[in-house]
Amino acid sequence: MNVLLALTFVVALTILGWLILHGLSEPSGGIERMGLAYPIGVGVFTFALWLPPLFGISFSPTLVIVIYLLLGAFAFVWARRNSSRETFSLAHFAALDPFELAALGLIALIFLVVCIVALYWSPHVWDELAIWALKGKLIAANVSPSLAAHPYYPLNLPYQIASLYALGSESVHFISVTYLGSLALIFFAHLREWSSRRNALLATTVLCATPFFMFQSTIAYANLPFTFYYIASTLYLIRFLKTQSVFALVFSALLLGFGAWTRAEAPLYFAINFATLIIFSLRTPSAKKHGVAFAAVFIALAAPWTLYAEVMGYGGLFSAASNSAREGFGKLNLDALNQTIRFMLQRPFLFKDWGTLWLALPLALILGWRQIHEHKILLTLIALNIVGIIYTFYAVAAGSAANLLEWSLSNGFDRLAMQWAPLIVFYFGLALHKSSIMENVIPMPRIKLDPYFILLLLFSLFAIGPLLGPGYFWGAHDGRHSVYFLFEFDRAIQDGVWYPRWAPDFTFGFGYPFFNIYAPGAFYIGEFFHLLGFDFVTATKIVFALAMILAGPAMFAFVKRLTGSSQAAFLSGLVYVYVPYHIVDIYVRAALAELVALIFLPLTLWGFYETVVNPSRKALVAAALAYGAMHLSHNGVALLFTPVLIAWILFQLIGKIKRQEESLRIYVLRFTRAALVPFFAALLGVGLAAIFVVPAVLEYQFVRTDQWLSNYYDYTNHFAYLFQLFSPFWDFGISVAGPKDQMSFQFGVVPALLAIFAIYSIFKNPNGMRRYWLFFVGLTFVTIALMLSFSLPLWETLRLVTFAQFPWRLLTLTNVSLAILAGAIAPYEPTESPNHPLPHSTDQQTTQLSLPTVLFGILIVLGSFPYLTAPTTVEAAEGPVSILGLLKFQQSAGEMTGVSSWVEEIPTWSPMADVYFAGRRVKSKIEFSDFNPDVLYFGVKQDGTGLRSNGETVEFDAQDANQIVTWNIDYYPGWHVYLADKVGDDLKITRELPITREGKYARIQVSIPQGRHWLLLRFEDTLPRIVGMWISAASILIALGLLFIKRKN
Amino acid sequence: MSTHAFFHKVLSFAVALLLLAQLFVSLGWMRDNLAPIIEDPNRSYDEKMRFQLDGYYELMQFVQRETPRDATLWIDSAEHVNLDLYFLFPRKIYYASDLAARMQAVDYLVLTGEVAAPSVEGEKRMLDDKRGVIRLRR
Repeated sequence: MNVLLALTFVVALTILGWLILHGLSEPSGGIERMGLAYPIGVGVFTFALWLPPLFGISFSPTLVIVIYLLLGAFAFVWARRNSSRETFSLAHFAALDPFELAALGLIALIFLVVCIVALYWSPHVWDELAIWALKGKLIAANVSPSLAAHPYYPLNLPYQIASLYALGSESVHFISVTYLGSLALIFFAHLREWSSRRNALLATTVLCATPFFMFQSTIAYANLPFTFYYIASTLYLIRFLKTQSVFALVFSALLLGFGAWTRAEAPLYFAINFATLIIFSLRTPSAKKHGVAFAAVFIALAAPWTLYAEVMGYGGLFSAASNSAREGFGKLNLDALNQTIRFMLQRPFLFKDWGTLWLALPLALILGWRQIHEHKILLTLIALNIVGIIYTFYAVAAGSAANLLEWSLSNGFDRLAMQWAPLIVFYFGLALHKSSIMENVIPMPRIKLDPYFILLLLFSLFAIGPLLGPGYFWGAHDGRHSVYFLFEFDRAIQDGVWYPRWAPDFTFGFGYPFFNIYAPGAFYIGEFFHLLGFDFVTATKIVFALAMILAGPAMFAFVKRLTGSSQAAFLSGLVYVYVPYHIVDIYVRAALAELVALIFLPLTLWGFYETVVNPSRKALVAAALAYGAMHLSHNGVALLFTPVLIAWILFQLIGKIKRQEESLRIYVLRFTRAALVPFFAALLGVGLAAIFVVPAVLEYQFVRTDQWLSNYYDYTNHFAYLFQLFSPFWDFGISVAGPKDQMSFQFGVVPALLAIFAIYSIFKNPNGMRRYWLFFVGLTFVTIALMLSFSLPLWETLRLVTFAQFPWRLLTLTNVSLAILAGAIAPYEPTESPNHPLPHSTDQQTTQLSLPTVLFGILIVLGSFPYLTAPTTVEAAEGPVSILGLLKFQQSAGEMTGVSSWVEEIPTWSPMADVYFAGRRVKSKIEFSDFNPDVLYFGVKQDGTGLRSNGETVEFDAQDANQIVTWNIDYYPGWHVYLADKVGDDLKITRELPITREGKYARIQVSIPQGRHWLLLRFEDTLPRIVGMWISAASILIALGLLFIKRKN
Repeated sequence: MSTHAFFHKVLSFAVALLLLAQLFVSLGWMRDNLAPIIEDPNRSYDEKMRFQLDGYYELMQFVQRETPRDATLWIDSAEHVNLDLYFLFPRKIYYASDLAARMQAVDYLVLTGEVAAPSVEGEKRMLDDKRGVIRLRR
């Protein structure tokens, strides 16, 4: 809620600013307007909030809302009356080359990180607490802000903070992130006028990537807001001096006037810009008029607060300026001047704070020395700012002790320098352009960035909202499982097992070959994030979030290829993300692996579409990769989807290979030939995943499955009822027998309605696409039929339970078909032949967004928005993620207690559990109660390093022969015990000891010889695992060969 | 290679170096700033403040707990005036120089541990050896 309020606040004021700008004829660029929207909106809002208290009206949340609504109403009327005719165009970012894409990616990453950092911390830095946040708090409490330090500091930032505090949000840092975003946009838009997109993007990246700017965007200081106003004002001044646009001049003064409400030193910057204006327009006939207009607009905006502060006795401009002038000019203090200049000259080498920003100035001067006269306005502004900052600190020192100067320099210099530093980068961007270095050095192909694709990503962010808060949905069906699966996976990886198969702590420590029969793809991704430093819960949440977000782009890519329409792709992608069962999968079922697999369903359809329509080596490998990745993500989904895939391929082939006047044999031959590419793609896909698939298929028989198929798991109790597919019911419980399931099976009102409209649309628009839509209509109806109880005979006859554990899990398939059908309502041009060799775009203007499509998008998000919630707690009932936590979970839920097929009774406790519950560490899994310690002695390593996830190494000394040793580990193919002796520092295996299975738990047991030896217990690869591994390796080589080895003509 | 071409290459190298250096510096900043968040993404407000302001926040929390919102406090050190005001608002706060003059108005003495504690009578509640509050006896 804290974060949501801050986001709402920023969006609301951006809309206000946007409406105000919408009523102006200039600026016309969408990027420029977007950059100005929040600062203009907040500038007007601050001024309006300041007025009521002057008339005795107290500050309150109601006042904030009323003022906003009044301003919003005025702005709306203003925008309607004076509406400019520009459309928001993303043309600036169409067809990016990889270099530009990388720059844009880095900027996006920077904003993601600063958003995270800014939203995480509440005000905590010394000055923000002492000045800005305190002022905000005092205003929110209706107490005079003069109680805070520096009472004459203006109220723009305090009023924003006060509004957020009053509305109930502590996430005040988000304001600063917004200012950095606005600065980046306005900076880019202006630089783009004079330089190429690549140079403008590079310079913007240098600016945003400067650590000092990033830091300032994560705290609530007024320097960054002032930086925005000053830099924007300066850029408009430059535009005026170059184009003589009066609008630019007025806007420049206006922005600086707003800036005066953020920092008290605004008049100094006014003086710098005013001087520049006079210098460069002196010879023009309207110089005096322009100078007066600039000064008048600035003073009209800046004066109220300055005068008010003087009248109220807060101090401020007049007293500060007169003191500074008296002290600064009164006597020459060379030491102070020297100290200030030396301090300034150290800045370019302060890489940790400034990166290479200051070094850009000398480099730009060298790059652009031939065109130096063209940049004289900018260079004059930079020079005056350098003089200004030296003077500021010199004046501080002139009348005070030297140590105050040192303190002022170290505390204030960088912040003041930041206020004009972007001018350096701006000049660097211009010099880069003039030198043409970047254009000549790196010629690159252009990549078209679809605005609907960007919109899809942005709209998808709401879907991961519940993951962004603290805590985790421990109570979701597989919430604990997902975290502990990763925990077990990590245990094996940490022991150096690069492809884990055995989970050592399942079933109270008896272990289980979980990753041998359960696809490990999702856990490799989770492990990657865990190894980066994220804890298990956060790593799991990141995988959930990625799976959710990437599902949309996957569907987008497929539908875009199928239809050529970005709008259709956008709608399909969005429905795929927001279709309720997708949300059930994440927040109700917490089915991590399944959610990851859903990314690959549309990609697989796309890949196999290409193998038929546009057969090529690339298509074959792409289809194989998608299909293989699906198998490696979730075997159940792969199994469920394979029949659909076969139908899809046959459907394509039938559509493509039309029977002409030829014999049946020729037709069958042509058909078979066309089917070869998809067939080999499927084969290669399974081959790529063989390391998992082969042992999973052949060794599945060695685990007990009765516990997952009987009683509650009897699929006949889990058919859906027709009404449930359309009911808005939502809960976090489980599926039960009968119609009163405690979880939702709905299609979602928007996806269902879109599918219905799509059917109408398909029949109204007959074209080359119709048959594709009909395939997915058919898939939807068949799937619905199979989810209902009347299809029970079919389930029994075809043994469909092999493909889906429960009938309602077929909703996975309707996720796909409903999403694709949603795209059918978007406008697209007919494709006469589906055999188009390349992706084609039929959108009339791909850089512009269609309002109806965007509104449909909003509808899709809003339709599922109420379901985007999950009951979260910071810690599970079992305590922190650990082996003890896992055992408690097994004990309380009876989950993660799988056993091998030789086990007669599922364990409910173990000797290892005793040790863990006693707060100690298990150092060996040998059953020590079975033998006489006088006859048999074990040398267990006390640091616990003898026991690993895939075995154990232990020394023994047996007085008698044929002593029996038992491990508390379930037997499963792959376990071996070796007898070894120490040779030097190494252990040399002398022979393998035959294993017998002991008792109802089928524990590993061996008979050991007399003497002092070592026992090596190892979980190793069996023949199916080795074969699977080699098939995967060979498949990778074949895929690489197909991609990179060129065939001679 | 002509002199012009040579300088062109040198400048290209310098630009590339500048961009790469900026990239690495920014990635370093991101890593450093994400590290404490990654370490514990679920910190509460109090935990975050303790992380950032160390022991002084503990004292502020302690004073918040031990004194009513309308109390008048005297704090023995004016080292953290603005932090005191931010965290202890709306309590009224006085500082070192005027204890005698304000004694009648003050309800609690706050001992920051940064200076020697004054000798006054009252009910002592301590956060640790040196820091705590004294409720003055009237």
